[in-house]
Amino acid sequence: MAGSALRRLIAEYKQLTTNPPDGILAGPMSEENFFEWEALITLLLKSFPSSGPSGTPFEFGVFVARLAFPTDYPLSPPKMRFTSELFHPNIYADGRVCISILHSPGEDPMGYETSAERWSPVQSIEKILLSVVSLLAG
Amino acid sequence: MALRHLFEKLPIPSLRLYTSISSLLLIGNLIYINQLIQFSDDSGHTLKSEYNTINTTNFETVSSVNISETLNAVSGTIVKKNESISAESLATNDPLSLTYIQTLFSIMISEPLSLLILVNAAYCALTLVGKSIQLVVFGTLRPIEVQRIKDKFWNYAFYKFIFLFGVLNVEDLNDIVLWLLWFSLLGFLIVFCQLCKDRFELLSVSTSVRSWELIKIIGLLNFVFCCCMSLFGLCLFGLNIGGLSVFFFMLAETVLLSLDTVYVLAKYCMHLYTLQQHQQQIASSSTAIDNSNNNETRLLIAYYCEFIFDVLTLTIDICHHLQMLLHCNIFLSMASLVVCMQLKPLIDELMQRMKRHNLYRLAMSKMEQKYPLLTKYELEEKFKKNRNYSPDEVCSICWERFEKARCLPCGHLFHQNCLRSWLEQDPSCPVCRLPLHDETSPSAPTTANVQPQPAASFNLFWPSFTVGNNARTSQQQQPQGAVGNAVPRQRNHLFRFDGSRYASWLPSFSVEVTHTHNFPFRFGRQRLSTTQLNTMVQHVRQIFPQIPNNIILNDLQRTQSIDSTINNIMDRRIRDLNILEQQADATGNHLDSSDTDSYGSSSSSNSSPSSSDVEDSDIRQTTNINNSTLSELQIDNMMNDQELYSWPLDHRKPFSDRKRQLITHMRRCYIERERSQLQTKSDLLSSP
Repeated sequence: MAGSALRRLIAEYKQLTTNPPDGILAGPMSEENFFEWEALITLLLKSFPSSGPSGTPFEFGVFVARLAFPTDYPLSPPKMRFTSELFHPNIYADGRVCISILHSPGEDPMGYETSAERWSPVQSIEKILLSVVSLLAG
Repeated sequence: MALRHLFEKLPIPSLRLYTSISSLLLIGNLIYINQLIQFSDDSGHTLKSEYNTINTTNFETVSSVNISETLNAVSGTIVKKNESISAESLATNDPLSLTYIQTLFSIMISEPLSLLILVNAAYCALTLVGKSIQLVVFGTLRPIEVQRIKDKFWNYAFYKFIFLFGVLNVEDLNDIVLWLLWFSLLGFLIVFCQLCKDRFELLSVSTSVRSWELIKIIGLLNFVFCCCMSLFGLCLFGLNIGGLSVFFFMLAETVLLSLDTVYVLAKYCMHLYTLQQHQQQIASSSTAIDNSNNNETRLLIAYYCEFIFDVLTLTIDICHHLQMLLHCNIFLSMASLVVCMQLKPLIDELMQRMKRHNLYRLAMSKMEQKYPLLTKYELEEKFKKNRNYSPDEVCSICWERFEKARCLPCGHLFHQNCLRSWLEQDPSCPVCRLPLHDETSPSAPTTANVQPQPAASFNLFWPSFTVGNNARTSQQQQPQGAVGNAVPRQRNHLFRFDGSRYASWLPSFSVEVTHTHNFPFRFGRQRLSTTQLNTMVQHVRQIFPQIPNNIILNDLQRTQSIDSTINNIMDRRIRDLNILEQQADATGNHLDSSDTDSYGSSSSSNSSPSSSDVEDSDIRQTTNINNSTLSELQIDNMMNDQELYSWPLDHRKPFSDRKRQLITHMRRCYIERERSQLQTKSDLLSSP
């Protein structure tokens, strides 16, 4: 039911606004539709001291992504799509992000990922965005 | 449907035009008949000869035989009618008397042309009523709702057309009119039911729902339901006229509609109830315990209601279609093909529903047997024993606190409902991924079972008719623009007849029918209002403060999207901009030469190599701005109006403000970095 999904999204929004991870901003696009979010991802090398002196080309960039949540949200993963142009092996030309925790649960048809790497309701928006940040920084 | 695209190309007049045309037609018709009656009053007996002369003149003047033939027929009926009227024509002098209206009406009905005009007027009135109800209850519709209504309407019209002429083989005009009346009433109600359903999707995802909106829609649904009840009466009328089969045809559709209405009504009432309960909870915030208990049973009831509703509607629909198939005895007609085409997905859906219910029951029974239900007391005991748990522990699926919980073998706790809906999908612990495969039952329920088979082919009447039912679910096939909440799925039905396998002269053909499920939250390309455009201009100006408003506005009006305008600016696709930049360059060079800034001239010589080092497109774009258009003055301005930036951003501010703040901060950081790099480079250059 959409009711529990909505309650969970509201809870996540509260948590993300009061205690956000470094450089990540996320929130619903409008009150009318709480299942459509916008997220701003920034990379500052200060938060990734291990990534070496050369840094990443994505430093100082602000990357905007859209998240669309299904009505059975914590059970199925949201869809994430970057709206800003981004050149990265894990990001398709149309902005979709290829990251294993966003893949719907169950066995991988290609036999490449184990089901443990895939979506689980324990994941949250914050965790998704952090994984994307580390994907870009790595 | 492929047909839909055809229908979209049809020039459909606007409502206003349609209303005016049909009212004009009706008035003209009324005047014409009025004239006729008056005429027959004055000279009833000489009418026949006069009409004959008119006809002969028509034969001479009008070249088209068709028109004169229809005129002939029309005048014939009028003459017949006039004879019957002439007896009672004495009473028809007063245009407001009841008998006058009756005669007027009877003439209208007996004459095919005016009957059609009358029917058209009735449709017009129905559309106007529908439009006004829509405006009162729903306000303006979202583009997605309009699209769905259109789809539904054309599908409905198409299948009813098939039903009328393929299944029932209606030939009499009066019969057709009666059926049309029935279908339009039904369609009218179906449209509203569908609208309510679509609106529910919107309301259930939004946080700012006012309860009077819900109450308005509930009122409408009650009205629709009352109409359904009166439709049952009409069904009995159909029993009198057309016999049992017609009665069943009508009954099935009425029952389906009323079931649908009741279901939507129940959903709305449930939503209203939870909304009010939520508000009460916020007010009192104490009645959490019995609330959760209520929740469990309510969810259970809701699930079973939904299941029964689904199964019932599907079976009735299947029976309806089977009756249609049996009614038209010719099995190999186009109509029976269409009916079969409809029947197949219905049966598939029913099977899937049953499968899903099986999964549900399996998960439920497994949970009951294997994972103990802990009460609040037991939970507290557990928390005391184990230091890892705190009493504030929340269910990791819904993030709400426990009253009762199911405990998995690995020790993780979940709400009963949360756990069940997860186990339906995947048999593992959500937290630690401990596989929970049941050793006794070899078939572990996975999501793959729920998906329909990739291609089911059965031999229908002919060995080479194959019906493929492809459910495209893979990610590559989803349209890239679709950010849908529902699982986007396209169903294709492919009918192929390969005649050459039997005889060389037989043709081969294939028919493909696509049902498109639209995504409820698509970003429609509707025209934007000026305020929206202005805010978009503001957005673009944040990124490119140096570009004048009007240029951005022009481009935005063309592209309707911030992203593409930004791309256009980046890729120098705006002509006005290029001219502007050339001018700016000319003046900029002039300024550079006279500039006595600390690193004025060196910056222009050094910044280009530094920019070529950077490979990433995003940063290159920003560098471009830095190189060509952003003057030092502007940068200084930007650095000076330092907003107080501290992470985390103030959460009392609206999201858009925080967004802007973050972007300006990042831009400032970037410029600082660039400056310091330039500084070090120029230092290096100047030191030897």
